[in-house]
Amino acid sequence: MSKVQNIHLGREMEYPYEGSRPERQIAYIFDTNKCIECQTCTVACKTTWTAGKGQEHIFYNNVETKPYGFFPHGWDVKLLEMLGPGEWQDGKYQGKTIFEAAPPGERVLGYLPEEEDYTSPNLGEDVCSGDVQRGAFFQNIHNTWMFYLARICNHCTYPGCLSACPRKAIYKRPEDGIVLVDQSRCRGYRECVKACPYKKIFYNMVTRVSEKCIGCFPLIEQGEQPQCVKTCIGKIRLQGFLSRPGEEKADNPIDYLVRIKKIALPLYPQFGTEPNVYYIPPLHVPRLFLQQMFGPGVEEALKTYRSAPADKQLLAALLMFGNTPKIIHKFKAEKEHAIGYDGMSQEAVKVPFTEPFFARDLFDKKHGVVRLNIT
Amino acid sequence: MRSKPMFGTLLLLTALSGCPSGEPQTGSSGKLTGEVRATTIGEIPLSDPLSLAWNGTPETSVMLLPQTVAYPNLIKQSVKELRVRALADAQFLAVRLEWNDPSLDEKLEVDKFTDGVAVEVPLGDPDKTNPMMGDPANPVFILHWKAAWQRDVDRGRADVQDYHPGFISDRPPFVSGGHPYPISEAFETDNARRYLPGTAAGNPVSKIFRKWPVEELQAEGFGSLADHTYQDSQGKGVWKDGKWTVVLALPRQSPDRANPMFVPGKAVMGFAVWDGANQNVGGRKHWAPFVKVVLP
Repeated sequence: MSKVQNIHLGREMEYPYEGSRPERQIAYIFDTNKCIECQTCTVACKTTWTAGKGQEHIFYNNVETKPYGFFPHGWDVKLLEMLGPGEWQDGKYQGKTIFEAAPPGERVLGYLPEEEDYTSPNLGEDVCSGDVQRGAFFQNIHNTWMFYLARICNHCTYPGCLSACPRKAIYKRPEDGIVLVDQSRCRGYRECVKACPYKKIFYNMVTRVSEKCIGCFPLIEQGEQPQCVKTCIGKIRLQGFLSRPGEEKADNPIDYLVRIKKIALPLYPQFGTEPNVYYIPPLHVPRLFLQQMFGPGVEEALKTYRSAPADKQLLAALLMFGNTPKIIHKFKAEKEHAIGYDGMSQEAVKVPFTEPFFARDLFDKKHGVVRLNIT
Repeated sequence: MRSKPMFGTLLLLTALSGCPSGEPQTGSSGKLTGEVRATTIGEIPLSDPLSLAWNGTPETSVMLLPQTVAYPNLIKQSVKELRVRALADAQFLAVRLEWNDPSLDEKLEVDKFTDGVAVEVPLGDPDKTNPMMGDPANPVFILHWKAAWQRDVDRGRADVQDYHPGFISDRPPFVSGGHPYPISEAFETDNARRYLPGTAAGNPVSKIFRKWPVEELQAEGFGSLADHTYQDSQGKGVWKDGKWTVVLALPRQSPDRANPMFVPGKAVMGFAVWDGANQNVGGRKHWAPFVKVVLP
């Protein structure tokens, strides 16, 4: 085992390989407050990449309801149970990661899902944390709650799948940190399926090898965001690149939101893989649950999120979500607009801070009909 | 990061399991334990592992050990002994491998693993070859049989509808025919096979059609397993009464220069067994170091 710096844990940790960060790291931000679980992302991904035979159960992208939704069934609670509790002190994780807790003869602590765990892709949909009592009303944090968690491969800095593959058939691209399975070298041992704490690597019973989200790399290489991001009708997603730690740029929306404003947090950072999909936590969910899921930065992240209406720079960064298929490398706030620039520093999107407002007469004289103004 | 082979452990294991240079011994069962002796026969019954012809050649008992040198390890040993017989004819050198296995495991699904067996032969000097998958200077030849491949050959390639008879799906892109779109018929075009990524990438594991339930491979260390372009070995396995009986046959005269040459007096063979019911796969296997093979 080598010692590597895990910036999510605030400490060094053990990892089977030497640490080597890519030139830039593909990263995503998902705003859980905006997700309506329409599954447009899921369908866009499915029809693009996993419409083949043997891929029926393979969802590189899925949206599940928390706390009782899972795909595959129980993926996170099973591993949390195996890992046991771990404390955070002053932003530093004191517990063990999946690498540090690996049993004898294994590189990673993990479990192999059963066939049946994949049979209900949207199990637990819209199931709340408890019964809504008569007379209950919504306050800030709800007594009874649920939220939607959109999930893809985290293209981890320290991937569990990669570390467990005895054939080195999984690799992380140095140019953008995308994690891929070499489909010609994999022999279907399923060590990766067992090791991935997010269970975002799948075994294909027809091809008899494992497959995972490819980060839509053919699009990335053309300067476009992945299918799941581009098609999101709730505009909850932004894909871009994270700079290496210490090299953050304030005009890079991903650097700005993740590392500078710290508004978006990693999913289960305690697993230790340094995942690169970052979530803006839901506002109305009990904090203890969120801290278990997103780490100790939840309270501050939500405080910052709530301040967005009064923080023009922050608002400008948030307006980069879902408004262009292009990857935004830089952004800036002007008086009336937030502007995003592509990799060639060309303007890719210009979004007004305030949408123009049009009021139409209730009765359309020309057509002789009553109008319905709905937005 | 490659795990360092533990040669100290290997030496000990080699001593326990019968070393190529050691004298043949006879165990309490009357079986040979130090060497495999091949007997000449007019024609090896390759398609019948249970043929009585195999009784005419001595049986050697090989002790199996759980693989604990490279990650991931086999923690739970479930197969202790492999019984080996060898026959030779003008075309093939064949070994018949027999071991107890109470369950027939031929299904491949996320949590289902196949039974299997393999023989390993050094491609260079046996005395310098690491029995744990060889090394770059001294590679090894491996002939691998799997129960899942035997099923493919005997009853056709296992398909989704075989294991999930009630499955329903949209029409996969570019396929021909109707539901359930058998992979052996409906995926004939390149476009259709693009949605079978492993197959499209030319991965031998993802082959749709298989003539033999065996695969010739080469290795030069852990994680380096690669298949031979030219496959000319044969095999057949039968599971009956709680035991597997598998014949693996190597051509004696092969145009494939990547195949091993057996040198009389220096021929050795290593073995590995996988128990699917106990999720044995890859390095999670039972193995035995090289045993001397006495050629006829």
